[in-house]
Amino acid sequence: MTEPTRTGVSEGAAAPPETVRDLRMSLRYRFWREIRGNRMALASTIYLVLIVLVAIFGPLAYDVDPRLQSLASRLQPPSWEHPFGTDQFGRDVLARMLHGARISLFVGFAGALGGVVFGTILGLATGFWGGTWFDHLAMRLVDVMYAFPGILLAILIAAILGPSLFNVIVALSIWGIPTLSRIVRGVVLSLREQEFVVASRAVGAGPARIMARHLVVNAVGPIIVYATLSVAGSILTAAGLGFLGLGVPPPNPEWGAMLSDARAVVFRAPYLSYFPGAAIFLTVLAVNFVGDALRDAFDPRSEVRRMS
Amino acid sequence: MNRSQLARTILLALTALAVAFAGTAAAQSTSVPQGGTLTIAWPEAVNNLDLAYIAGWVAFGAAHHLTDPLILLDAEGQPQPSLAQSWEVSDDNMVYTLHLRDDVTFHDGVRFDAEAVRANIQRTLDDPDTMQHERFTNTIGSVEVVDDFTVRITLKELDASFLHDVLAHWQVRPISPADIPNRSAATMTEGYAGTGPFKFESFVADDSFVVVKNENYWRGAPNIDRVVFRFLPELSVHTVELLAGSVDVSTSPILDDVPLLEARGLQIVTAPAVGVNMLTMNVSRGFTAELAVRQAIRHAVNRQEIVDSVLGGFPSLSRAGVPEGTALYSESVSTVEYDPELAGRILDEAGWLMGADGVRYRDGVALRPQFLNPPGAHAANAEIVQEQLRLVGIDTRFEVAEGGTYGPRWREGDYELSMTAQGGTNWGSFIGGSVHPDDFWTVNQIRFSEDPELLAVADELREIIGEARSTVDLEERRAAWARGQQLFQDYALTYWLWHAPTVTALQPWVKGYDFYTRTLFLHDAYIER
Repeated sequence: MTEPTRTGVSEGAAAPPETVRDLRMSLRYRFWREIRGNRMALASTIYLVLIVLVAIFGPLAYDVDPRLQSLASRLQPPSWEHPFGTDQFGRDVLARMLHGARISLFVGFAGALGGVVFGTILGLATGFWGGTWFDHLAMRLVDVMYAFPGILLAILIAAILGPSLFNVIVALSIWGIPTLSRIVRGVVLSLREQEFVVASRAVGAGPARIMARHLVVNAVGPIIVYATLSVAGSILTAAGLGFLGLGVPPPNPEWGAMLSDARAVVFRAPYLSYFPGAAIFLTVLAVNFVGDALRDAFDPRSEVRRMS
Repeated sequence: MNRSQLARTILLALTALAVAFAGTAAAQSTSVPQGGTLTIAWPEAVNNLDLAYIAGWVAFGAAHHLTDPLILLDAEGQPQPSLAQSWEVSDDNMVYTLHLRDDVTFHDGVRFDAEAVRANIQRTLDDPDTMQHERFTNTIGSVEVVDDFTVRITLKELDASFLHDVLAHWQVRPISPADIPNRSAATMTEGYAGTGPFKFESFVADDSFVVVKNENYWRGAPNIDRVVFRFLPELSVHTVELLAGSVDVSTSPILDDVPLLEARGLQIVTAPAVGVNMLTMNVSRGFTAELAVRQAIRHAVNRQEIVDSVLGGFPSLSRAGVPEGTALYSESVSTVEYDPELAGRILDEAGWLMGADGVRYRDGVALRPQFLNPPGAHAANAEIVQEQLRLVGIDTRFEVAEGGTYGPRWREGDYELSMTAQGGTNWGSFIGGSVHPDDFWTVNQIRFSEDPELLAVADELREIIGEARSTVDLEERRAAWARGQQLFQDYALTYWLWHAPTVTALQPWVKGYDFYTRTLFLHDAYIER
């Protein structure tokens, strides 16, 4: 029986013999090799590690209540007392940025994870039973979801469910399902005809076992790539929902909502828009660079390019 | 005629001619510049131009330019002639006879006369979708056309504020009888012919409303050719556009930007508004059904701090829903002081004890009332109130109702707390908010309470308001209203916060404008660059 490869996208009889060896390299090795050769990806990885550490430990190190208002000291520019200044309610902006990092990153990652989990399950099922009525029905539903632009779909869901942390995550999860289910379905459709799957089936493995032991494992490359990129999309969409007032309700600090609040005082306190704006921009950019690096690391064509 | 006589005659004639020319020149020098387009940044998308259906000041502020009132209320709230040049009220205050102007035509050329007034009042009587349908049907007995320009209205029951609240109300700003059959709640954004200084030109949903001058206006054609209302809900855009000079007026400048606008030479004009900002409390459900909670909430909110810090000091604090210096203001009514310690004691005595997490609990239930708010300035002020309540252990569940959903939800009582504002046409008959338990915009849902004591309060309010409305004597009416205001205070039926004037920013070249009852009037306005 042929040993299954770790990367679904690397399957293909036409692959040159030289590339097969490289494609068997561990995901971790391939990622780090890509990162080392890509300074933007390296810087982005360092930034993301730092921002996650800041989100976890920042509020502990800078122990200021992000909800505490002081109307007497509203709209103060950055100073030693308030390093990022104060907002229109006299709240410390640094404290809000640090607590906001927790919420924004949590919402972004949780939303992406939800989309990945449900998208993968749907993609596996429709790919495995491809061509059946179930596949047709599920894919037409996915087509309907595709008909809505992503942000509109998220707004629609958030507006129906109402603004709350959980509902934003639900909206982002649903938003992520169509793309990932399509990707996984495509991979599974090609994998299910592979000899190791046929062999598994021949020795009596059931659908659940085949999906769990063979198909998911081999589709993990594109899933990770898409999941990483969808984190960027989720953070951006969560910020967009927060900006529109459909995100986490006040007074919880969330970067998108902070940016939205800053609009009203953009002339008197422009710095209020700099910090959340820069945080959203840099985080989304960094996640995209890392996602690109992952894609290159797992893409056999980039291997071929590299070797040639 | 000899030579000297001829010379004197010629001299006199030349002198007269010179005086005439000088007079003409003087007249020309005192006349104001004509023409031009005035662009106004409007804070909300207007979704209704038809005054019979309009419920909001924002829509009225734009649409009123198409029409005229029968009776105009001046800045002091006193009735002045308009389309009705005089009126008589019978001794028993049951019959109102209006003598109309005979020189007015609608924009479509139809003559304005007594029949037009009757048709407009009949329209509200016939159409249950109109805002004042209930008031009209309850109050008006008959409308008779006495002659071409005299109309007589006979009431079913005494209504002391009929002249102010009905005849001077925007609901009775006549539109052309030719348009009436085509109008309904479904045609609210379509143009029509009124008698006003400006005529309808175009309306684009979520974009703009444009009017052009009525050359045949009975008070003389306006000076400005066109007025463009640009719907710009994003208020920071108003500042940008004002600074760039691309809009001439903003009726809702951001108060934090007012010093900057003033420094750049813009005119900042405040005008008293007939209205009150309030923290409404739904007394029929949830945590706010409990008197102690409502009382504690009122003592926990520091409204003076909000006025001073966030609202630029423009509003004045409200005693009990009626501003000082107006007809129904009574110093005998108690007011509410900021006292967070007292708020804490009231809650302690009611069994709401502070938990370790800073939230009060009773029998394991956290004190977390629902706090529903409209977007914009109300929501921003509500965030301050939310924090002030948190400091005494009331952890509100904050919600901003977007996309026009606030009004219906608030009316249906889908809230426990809510920041909002209401206004009327004049202080002669108005107590700030809709205090009648059965009113369309009632501020506390008291009629749905299950508490017998509150239901008795509702009955008492009905009685007091009925008495006030049927009392012509101002002192007696004030006394009746004072009892109503005191009931509101004693049972904490709402928290009257402040009376905010309208603040308008105008470019230095906009002149001749006027304000009545919080609304910008442009008939005499002109642009002098």
